[in-house]
Amino acid sequence: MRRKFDHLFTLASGLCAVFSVGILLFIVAAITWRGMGAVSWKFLTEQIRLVGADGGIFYNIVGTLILMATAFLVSVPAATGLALVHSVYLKSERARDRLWLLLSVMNGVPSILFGIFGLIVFVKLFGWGKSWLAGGILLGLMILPTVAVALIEKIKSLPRAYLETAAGLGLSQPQIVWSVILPQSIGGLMTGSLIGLARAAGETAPIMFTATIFSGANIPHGIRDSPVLSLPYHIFVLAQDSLDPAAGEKLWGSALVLLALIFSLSLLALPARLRIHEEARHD
Amino acid sequence: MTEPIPADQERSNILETRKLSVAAGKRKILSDVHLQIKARQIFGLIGPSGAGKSTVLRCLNRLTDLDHGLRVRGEVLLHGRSIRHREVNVDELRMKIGTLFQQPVVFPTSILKNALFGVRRHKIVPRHAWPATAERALREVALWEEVKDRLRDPARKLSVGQQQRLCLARTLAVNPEIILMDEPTSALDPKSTLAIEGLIGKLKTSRTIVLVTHQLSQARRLCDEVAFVTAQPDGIGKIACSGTTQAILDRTDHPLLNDFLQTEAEADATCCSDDDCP
Repeated sequence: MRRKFDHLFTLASGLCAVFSVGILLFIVAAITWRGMGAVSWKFLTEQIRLVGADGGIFYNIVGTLILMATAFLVSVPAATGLALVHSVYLKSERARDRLWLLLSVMNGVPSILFGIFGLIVFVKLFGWGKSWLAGGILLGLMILPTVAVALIEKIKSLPRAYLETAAGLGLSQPQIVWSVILPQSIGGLMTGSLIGLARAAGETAPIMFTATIFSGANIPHGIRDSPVLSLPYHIFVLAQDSLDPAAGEKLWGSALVLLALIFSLSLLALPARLRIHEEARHD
Repeated sequence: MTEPIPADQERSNILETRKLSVAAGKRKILSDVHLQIKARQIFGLIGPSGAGKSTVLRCLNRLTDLDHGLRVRGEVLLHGRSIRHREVNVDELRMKIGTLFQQPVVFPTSILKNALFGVRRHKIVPRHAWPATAERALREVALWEEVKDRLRDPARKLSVGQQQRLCLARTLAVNPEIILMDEPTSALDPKSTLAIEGLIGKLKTSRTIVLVTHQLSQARRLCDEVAFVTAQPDGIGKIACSGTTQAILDRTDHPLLNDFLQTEAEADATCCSDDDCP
């Protein structure tokens, strides 16, 4: 009976895994199949023309990269600070639980609310208008819990012996943070950042009110009224005109580029992550 | 190098505990620990597992501060001054009183960076003198000849015995007056155990060592004085007796000590039926 249950459980788990991977592969295959025709050197290097029906998505790629880089620069220091407060500086278990709850709640806030917050604070209150910086900060705030939680988990998994050894050598707490905790947790920070950025790259709601327009922008030269073009918003607008065959093709092409962008990001970080895993294996 | 200790200080106690007690929440772990440790001696803490030997050791350089659940009472005096005073810089204290743990803890970096781990952060040695400092420390633990051509190799590639010597070199590089050793050979093979014991014996000429060990043969070989830590029927660890190693290990009038000595002597005898056992 027990063996039968084990087999059944293994089968169910296997089916779940196949189903999940199958859906992912189907989405990737569908986007690749339909987008392949649109992607060309011209598509990648030219700017948008004829309301998206012609031309390329060069400035959309640039804009997306600017937003993601800003989100990365905003989220990494903030998440590092939060993770250190949680794991090192907060002594009370209760305070830690509260911070954890706050991060969980923040993680569950719908992205449209971030957009509205950005509209009220950055666009109106600060008077920035639509600005790449507002969008980058919002995306950074949105992925903050993901990055912080990944880092907290990594710090939690650090061998206590490292901390005791460093303390035993007379290192102060800041020295232990800089020489042991952060270098040993960088893997968690990178993993969290990648997951977060992958999510941020596809978000439309937080940036549509605050940072991005459909056409007429290129490289921003300031902060005030300096919107950028972006891939998710481009896809969003084209999707509304998807019955037009020319727009439809560009839509799938843009989606494929966005997918490739996220995939490239993961590949870029792969050597560093592998090195970190290798070091961890020798721990 | 460690500066010579003046003759009058050498005779006096370098480290002392008075009425030291430790509690974890409401549960008392240690009570009434009185120790007097003279300079440049090897002082052993012997006793059964779970009696609180390691906790006593951790109190001596306030490593217990890292365990938020522990409450320490009483006094620990270094050169007659309390180390638990509010004005004492705990990081400087731990530089003076270094630690060698049971398991070698090397950081996932090179042998050289491990040896210089404390020195680099404390900035007690100018940068240009780092290589010489590393060499001195590695020579002191007799590891230099084995690693001099592969200082940039990962420390993890060393054998466990070499890793433990590297940890000792890292501690020595910071130039502590006292080294606390928590069963430093328990994870090592007999050959490495002998190597570490040889080093401990040599270190005695320049430093004070407090050694936790459960091996009576090791205590007999190394320690000048020992204290027997044992858990009382109420589960609280206490110092049952202390004195010169010979006096304690040959004592026959203490029932708890006798039980422990007998058990450990049997364990030592079983171990030493092996030819290469120290």
